[in-house]
Amino acid sequence: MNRATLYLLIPSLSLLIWLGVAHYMASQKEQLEKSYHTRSQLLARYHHLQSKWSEKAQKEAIKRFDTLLRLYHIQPQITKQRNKKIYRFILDKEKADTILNKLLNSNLAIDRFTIERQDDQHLSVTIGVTL
Amino acid sequence: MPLFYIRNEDIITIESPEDAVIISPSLYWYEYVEFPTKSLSKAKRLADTFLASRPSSYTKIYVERHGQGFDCYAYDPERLKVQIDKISAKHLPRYFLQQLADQLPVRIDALSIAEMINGIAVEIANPKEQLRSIDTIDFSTLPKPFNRHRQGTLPKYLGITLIGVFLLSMGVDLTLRYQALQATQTMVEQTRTNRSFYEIKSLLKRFENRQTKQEKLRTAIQQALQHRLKDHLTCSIQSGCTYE
Repeated sequence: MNRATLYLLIPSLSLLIWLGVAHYMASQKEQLEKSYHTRSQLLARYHHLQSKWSEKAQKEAIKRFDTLLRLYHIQPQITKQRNKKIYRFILDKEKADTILNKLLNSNLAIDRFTIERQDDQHLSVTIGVTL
Repeated sequence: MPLFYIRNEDIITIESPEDAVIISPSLYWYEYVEFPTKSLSKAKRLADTFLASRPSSYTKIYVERHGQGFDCYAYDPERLKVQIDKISAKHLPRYFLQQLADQLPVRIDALSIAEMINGIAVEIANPKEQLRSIDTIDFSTLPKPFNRHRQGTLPKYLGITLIGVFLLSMGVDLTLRYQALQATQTMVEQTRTNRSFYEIKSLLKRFENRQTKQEKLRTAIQQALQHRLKDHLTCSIQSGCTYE
């Protein structure tokens, strides 16, 4: 094998190897990037929803709701049924807007909501919460 | 007969006037034999057993087909090594030429000469029969760099430098690509959690479902409370809001 052949053969083989390896690495990188984007989007959405609807988040939401009722001096009648907790309480008309707004803006998983007019000043509220 | 031959400047034009060395055929013992086989390996074994006329120190045997029989070459490896070492000490840079029977000499790599030398030259059994003399060879027909015109020949060091630069750029490029790939892989690793990908998907679906239902329920309750509040309002996830 003479020198000219070597000069042609070595760069040609190297170029082929270069192109092959570069192509392989590019495709691997593209695949990994795609996987990264999918995973990070999914995880971000998961963490967002988990902070609202996971069991831990629900326990905290129930605690906050209990605190809210205590703050407004409301003593609910609490019943537990399987995986539900039912609150029954009487609301003054003045407090009703505030408490109902806070309840509806919280992340408490409401299963059932009943409201009944008792007289002009009082409302009877029943809330079923999923545990 | 000289053991090696140094070309004159006016015949070979390479880098140096004393750079061509030709291993002489006189180092070899040769015989043409017709063995009852077509296999080269069998012929080699037969040659080793039956060709007792060669000097005892000529232990290395090489066999190649020729007509109906075989050309058998033998040489003394130690003696050859001594001769090559002598050449190495005297002439640097040097080039070795190999010459098979009825062929022109061609250049071979000095480093691999110990292997290549096996069967590259012949000693004629009949002293009267002569191979063509080296001096009668037309070097313009030989492969470069023995062609005196040297047209289109790339200088040795320039060629090596260019190839070196090319390989270096290849190495740098591939290293950078590999680093980028590793960085991406690390990023992907960082997104791994305790839960499996399918578990997360399933939980996400559950949470999304709950979010949608809760949003619907809250919208229905708010609308019901805003528009009218009759004596009894009941809302549930399954049936929405109803008045009694």
